[in-house]
This record gives sequence, structure tokens and C-alpha cells, in this order.
Amino acid sequence: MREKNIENAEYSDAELIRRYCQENDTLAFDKLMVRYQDMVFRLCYRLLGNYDDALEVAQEVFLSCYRKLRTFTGKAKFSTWLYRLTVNHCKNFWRRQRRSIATHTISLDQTNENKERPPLQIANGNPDPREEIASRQLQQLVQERVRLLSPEYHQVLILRYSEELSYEEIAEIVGCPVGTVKSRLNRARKELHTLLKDIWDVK
Amino acid sequence: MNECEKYNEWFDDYIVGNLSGESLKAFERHLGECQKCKRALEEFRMVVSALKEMPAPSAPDSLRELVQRRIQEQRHLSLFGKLKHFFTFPRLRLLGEVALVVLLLFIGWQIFYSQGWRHQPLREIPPEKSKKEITALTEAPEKLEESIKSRERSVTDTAEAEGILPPHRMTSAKVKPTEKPPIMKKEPVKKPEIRHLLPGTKRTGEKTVSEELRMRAVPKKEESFAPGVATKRFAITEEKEPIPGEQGIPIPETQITRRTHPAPPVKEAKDVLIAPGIPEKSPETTHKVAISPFLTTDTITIKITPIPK
Repeated sequence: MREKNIENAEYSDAELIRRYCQENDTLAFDKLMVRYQDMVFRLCYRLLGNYDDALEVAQEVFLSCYRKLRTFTGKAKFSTWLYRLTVNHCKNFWRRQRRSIATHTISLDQTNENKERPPLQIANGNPDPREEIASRQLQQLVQERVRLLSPEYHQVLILRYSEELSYEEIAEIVGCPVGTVKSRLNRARKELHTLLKDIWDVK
Repeated sequence: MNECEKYNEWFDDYIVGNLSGESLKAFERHLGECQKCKRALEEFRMVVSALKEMPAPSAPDSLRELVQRRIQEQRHLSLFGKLKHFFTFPRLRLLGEVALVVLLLFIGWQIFYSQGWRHQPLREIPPEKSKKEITALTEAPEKLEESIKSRERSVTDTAEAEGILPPHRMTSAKVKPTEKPPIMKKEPVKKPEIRHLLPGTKRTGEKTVSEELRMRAVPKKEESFAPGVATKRFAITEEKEPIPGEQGIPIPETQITRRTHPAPPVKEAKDVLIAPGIPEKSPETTHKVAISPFLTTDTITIKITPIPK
């Protein structure tokens, strides 16, 4: 009966967390996961740029959340807390990957393995096909080159312009003052501008 | 910071719409004047739009299933698994670190302790007293002989042993007759004094002791003794004889005053000159001497054999 209730009812995050922590209700946790899995996976994908890596890290994030949820104090929003967990896991994954980069090999068939992978479609309302192609190329280049930045700059750019979060939220997620976030964003913008210099010169 | 740099920092706020009032007017005025900044803003707009349009795939259904499966696995983690999890590398490393700290503290304490007793002040014997005893003994050689014999009977008797102490306990192995008389005094064994009486002494290493086995004294030039004092020459043989638990015999005070600080290790045998009165056919005598270099007590046996002429 209760299962039916929790499936149908729209509980707040705080209520679901309380149910999980106090009553050890795994369904409440499941509900939370369903609510936030897209957000976590999206951020993982945007930060790591790889579908399989994003899937792996998203699993780790939810497992970590399952273990640490009892330590969540409720001072910040649950989504911010989960963002922070995701960013940290992505950072750890990036470090691990960097360490094993020398031995890392990529299979050519790897891209066709996962049937769930959606086609990469970038929404663009530009009617002119030439301009659309040019715009797509530029977008792709920007998205590729933003990963060449250091993780600190990369993550603030993604959080600010892809996830569209406020300075305060980013500060809470990254764990530094708002002023630092602002200066990091400025430096990230400058560095990215330098990385895209060849494109600007052509234009 | 020039003006362009200042306005470049406002790009983010301008795009998001945070600028208003005078700031917005000033910013737009600058853009109208500075083509470089205008272009930079356009480029920044493109970057922001590219980042905004970054692909955002929704989570696959398998994510939820995978997480649920792993949670179930964790729940049914066996007791062994939990223990194994507890003794993971970081925890063991912590234990190792604690053990290392304890070990270092122990070694530090040992060194401090040994240094502490090394720096104990030495007691000096008033020279007048020694002189008196020397003259008394040299004048009555029969008394000296008696005392030597009585000492030979007792294993724990230290006096003679101290008189022929190996060079590592003394500045010189050559015992002048002036140092003899206090040796003749039978002193009670003072066990707690051993540690204090032997500061700076070094453990006679196994090698040195074994090498010194049956060392023969080389005749040397006669030392300048007091007039009328004859000397006899003896060869010394040392043997290391570890007797655990057996407490050695302390060195008389007079010998302590002669020792160097720190004492040099035994490298070679030296002949020992012994005051007159020791009979020529004195048998090989064995004396046990305690050496306590580092909270341990070893004993060495010193054999005195008259050199055949």
C-alpha cells in the first residue's frame, strides 16, 4: 500500500530523504534516483565527453549518494549536494584516466556497442544549411576544445553556461568563494579564447 | 588593468543580463567605441551558445538497474567481505604509521636514556689518598701478595680485573703502580652503579673479542715508575663470555677516573704492567667484568698469563 503511495505521490526531496534515512525506505531512494538520474548523467556526459564513462561515473555517484545520504544535513539544496558529488566523482575519474592514459586503448567497435546511445543532435534553428554546418562545426570545436582546459576552468564553464547555474550555486558545488568562481570564469574565458584563436582568425 | 580588460570582465554579466543602470550604459558606450571589444564579445557569445547547446543525453534505463544491483551486492556483503573492506590499504597504512611512530619514540627514548647516563659526572679520588695507599703497599709487599691471592679465590672480585682492564675502558692499558693500591681494596659489589660507572664504554664487538683471543703481549720498554718499584709483564687473553642475567662487577673508582670519555674501542692487545708483589708463578686467572654499553650486560673474561722469559 505504502509502495503504491510513494510511487504515485509527489514527495519533496526532503521527505524522500527523511524516509530513506529514518525508515530505511529504499523505494524513497529509488524515487530520488529517478528524479535526478538525468541531471547526474547529463553533467557526467558534459564533463567527461564520453557516454560509457558517463554511465560508469553516474553509477558511482548514486552508490556514493546511497552511502552518504545520511550525512546530508539539508543546509544546501539536495540538487546542489548531488551536483557537488558528481563534480567530485568526475574529477576523480579524470585523474584516474590521466594516470592510465599511457595504457589506454580505444576499440573501434566501442561506439556501436551501446544501442541506447542517442544520436548527437544539436538543436539549431538556423534555416541556411551552410551556416548551420558552419555553426555546428564551431559548436563541436568549442565543445572539444573546452575539454583541453584544466578541470577547474572546464567545470566552471560547464556549470555556468551549460547547466546555467548561478555564481552562488557554483561556489557551493566547487567549494570556493563566489569571487574565486568569478575570477576562474574570467580566466577560463580568456584561455578558451586563446585556444580558439585559429577559428577567430579564419572568421 | 586597462579599460578593455575591465569591460571584458563584464561580458558574462552583460550576456546574462546582470548589468543595469550606469554600468550597462558605460559598457555599451565602450563597445560602440572599441571594435576589438565588440568582436571579443561576439566571439564570447558564440562560445556561450556552443556550451549551452552541448548535447545532454538522458540517462539510460540501465543506469537505475545497475545501481540497484550494486546496492544489493553491497547489502549482502559477507562478514568476511566487511572485514576485508575494513583492512583495506589506507587502514593498514595508518596502522603501519602508528607502529613507526611508536618505534621512533622508543629509539629516541633509548638514545636519550643512554646519553643521560653517559653524562653522569665522574667521581674523583683525592690524589693524596692514593699516594698514601701506594706507599703503604709498596713498603709491605707481603700484604699485597695476600690480597691478590684472596681475590683470585673470589670470582666476583674485581680489583685485579680492574687493574688489568683492557684498553677500551681506560686511557691506557698500562697500569701504573700508582694506580694499584685502590685495587687492592676489596670493595663490595654495587650493582646499581654499573651503569653509572661504565659510561662511554663500548660493547666489545664479537669480532674484536674473538680476534683478541689469546693475544700475547709484546714486551715494551719499561715505563718510568717510581724508584724502587719493580714491574712484571703479563700477557692478556680476552674471551667473550655472555652470561645472560648475571650482573657484572663494578670498576673501582680509581679506574673510572682513568678512563677516556668516550672510551676507545679495543683494537689491539696491550701489555699490562702490574705492581710488584704478584708472584711469578701466578696462575691464569679469570675475571668477569661487566660491560654495559647499551642497557645490556655482557661479561668478558680476562686471562693473565705470565710471559715466559
